Amino acid sequence: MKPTTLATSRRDFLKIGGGAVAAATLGLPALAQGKTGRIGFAMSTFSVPRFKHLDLPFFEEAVRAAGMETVAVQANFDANQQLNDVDNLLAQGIDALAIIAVNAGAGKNMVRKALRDGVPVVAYNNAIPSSDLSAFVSRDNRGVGASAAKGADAAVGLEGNWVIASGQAGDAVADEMTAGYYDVLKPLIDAGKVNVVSHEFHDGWDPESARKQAENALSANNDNIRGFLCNDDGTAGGCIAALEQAGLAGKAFVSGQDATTVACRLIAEGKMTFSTFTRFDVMGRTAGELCAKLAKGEAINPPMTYSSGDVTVPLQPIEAFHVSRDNLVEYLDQYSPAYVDAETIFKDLPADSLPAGAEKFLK
Amino acid sequence: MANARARDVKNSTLAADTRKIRLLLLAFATILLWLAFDLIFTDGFVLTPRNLTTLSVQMTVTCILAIGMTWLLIAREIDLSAGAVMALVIVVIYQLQVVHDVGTLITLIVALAVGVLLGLINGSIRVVLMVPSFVVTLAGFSWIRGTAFIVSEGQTHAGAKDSFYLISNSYLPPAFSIALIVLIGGYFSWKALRNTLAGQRKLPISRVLDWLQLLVVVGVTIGAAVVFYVYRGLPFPVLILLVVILATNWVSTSTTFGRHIYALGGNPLAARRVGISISLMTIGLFALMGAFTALAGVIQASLLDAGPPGIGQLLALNAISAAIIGGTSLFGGYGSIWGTVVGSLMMASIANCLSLAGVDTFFQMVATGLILIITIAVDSLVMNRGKGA
Repeated sequence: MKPTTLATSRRDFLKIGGGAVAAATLGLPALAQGKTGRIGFAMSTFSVPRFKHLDLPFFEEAVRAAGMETVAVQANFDANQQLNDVDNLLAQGIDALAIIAVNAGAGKNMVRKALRDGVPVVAYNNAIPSSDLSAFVSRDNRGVGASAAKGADAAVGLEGNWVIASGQAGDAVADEMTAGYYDVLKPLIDAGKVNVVSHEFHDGWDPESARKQAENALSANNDNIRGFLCNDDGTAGGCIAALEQAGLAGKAFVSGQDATTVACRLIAEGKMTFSTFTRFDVMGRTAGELCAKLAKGEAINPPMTYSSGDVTVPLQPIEAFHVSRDNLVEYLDQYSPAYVDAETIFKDLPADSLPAGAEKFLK
Repeated sequence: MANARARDVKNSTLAADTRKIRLLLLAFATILLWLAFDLIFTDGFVLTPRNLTTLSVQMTVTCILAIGMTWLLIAREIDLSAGAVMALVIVVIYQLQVVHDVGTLITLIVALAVGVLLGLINGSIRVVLMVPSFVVTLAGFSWIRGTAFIVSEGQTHAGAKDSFYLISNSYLPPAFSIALIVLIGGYFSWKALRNTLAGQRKLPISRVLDWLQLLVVVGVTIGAAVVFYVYRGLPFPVLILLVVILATNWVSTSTTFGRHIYALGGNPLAARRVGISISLMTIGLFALMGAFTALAGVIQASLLDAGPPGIGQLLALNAISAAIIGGTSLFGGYGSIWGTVVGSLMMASIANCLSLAGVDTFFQMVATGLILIITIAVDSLVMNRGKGA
């Protein structure tokens, strides 16, 4: 008698359990899709500090403010992993997608797949040469380059011998920023006022390669170089190392980009004149807002265009500004400790050389 | 005399049963993984026809490589350069399609030729210069990758012709898909049923396994038929993978060549005495691996629609992991195609489920490593217990 009751109840349990599982698996996705809208963010990495501390949190905040949720994944710089990420995001029923393309060419296919599912795509920070993009959110690299050259003019005057240290050839940031320099320099070169004695692209944005370029330029011109326009802080740091060796650190103009902790210290020491910083938090927030609007089916209106390969995409430019000694403290107020470390920047500097207001970081 | 024979039969049947148990356990573990992630960690996004279809495509590249790797591993060889070979094949594909505007058919032939050529190079160095395959392919990991970067000048070309794009991005119409799956699945189900109902004298455990095997075959057939019918049909890469699996499984179990691979790995000296040409077979296996790598490269190139020279850095290790999880021995002589397939499915499932649950790729790497250790530890424990008894 007892075994029979046990057997029956076990079978019933299995039936109920099986039924529950079936109902759950078939019913849950429908339930999930009825929830708030979801925005996918296919990032290239979590390891680079700006993405983790600035871009992503502000993106998520903007999406949350619009009443939706963000699903963020990273591909660890692997293009195939990113393809899988996009597939999986699309399978979860997202309403809009932002991609930091690991590989611009591979991004084209991902955009195509998203569009086939009716999901609008925003390219974030890295250009994708696809005419199906709804927007490309990034700094206006060419404008940033021109503004750096103008800043050089304001600081020391654009005349004499100049050196340009560019990033990796083929990287949109390096190419565009360098083109921006020449937008301002070309008329001066033609008029004979400015002489670009050395211009090199550096693979992998290698600072050591930039250092060699600066060293050679100094040797070849008897140390008579007025300034160094560099595409990023790494290459700028390399040039400064060469200047240190020649005993000229602080005497020539140097500009970089990204305003990293190391660059800020060089600015505080007077060895770098300024570094262009793009508001990554604004970039994240803007992209989040755009994605939320696209998800709701609203129209967006990026004010500029950008040529990527042979395709023109609508560009939503993000503000970039120069971080110099004058506004270093103000910059640190906003971005330390999230992105840079103020204490490391001002540590062990002689008290009378600190910019006004810097003491509070050294507590 | 009779007693001794009975004992031998029992032991060999037990060995076969142990392998079957292992494979069934692995399959059930994978299904358990799907259920856990579907019900608990995601909002039911794992067990949808769409995701299961996506998952099947996501496993094809690694699985094809793992199958070629299985044969090499059984024969006591290894190929660490698989990822680099695939990268060079993909680079060549895009040079032809995008830069030189070559047609798809010629592209495919050239891609296959490149893969086979690289395999022949690896195999020849192994056999003629008697360099261990670990070293040959480790070198290939570098020089073949370097060649890929040189040929592409470090650039990624994208946007193949439509005909090439369709290779990995089209589906067999649902009606055809269900017919094909029912046909193949039905055949295997019938074989499994016959096996179960056969009148031979068997151990009780063998009988249970027979029924479980029948259950799995029928279940997979019905599951696959439903999934592919409901979503968009059988994806082409999965169809290609299916053909590869059936062909290699048939060769492994029912042809002389297949038996020779196991002989070579199980006891090379005895194999040579029996008249098997080890040199020819080794070169042949490497050439075949090159062909499989080229095939995987074609599918990957079409999936990504771009040819980055840096692609697939860890692919060879993933393929080896899949083969080992599936029961292939690193020391040769043991391995099965279906085992490798389930191993690849398990690894792809981990990646897919973790991604759907929003977990970082780093955890995926940890999970894959742990699964590998656990399966080998279990294998080792079972083997040693058997020896003690």
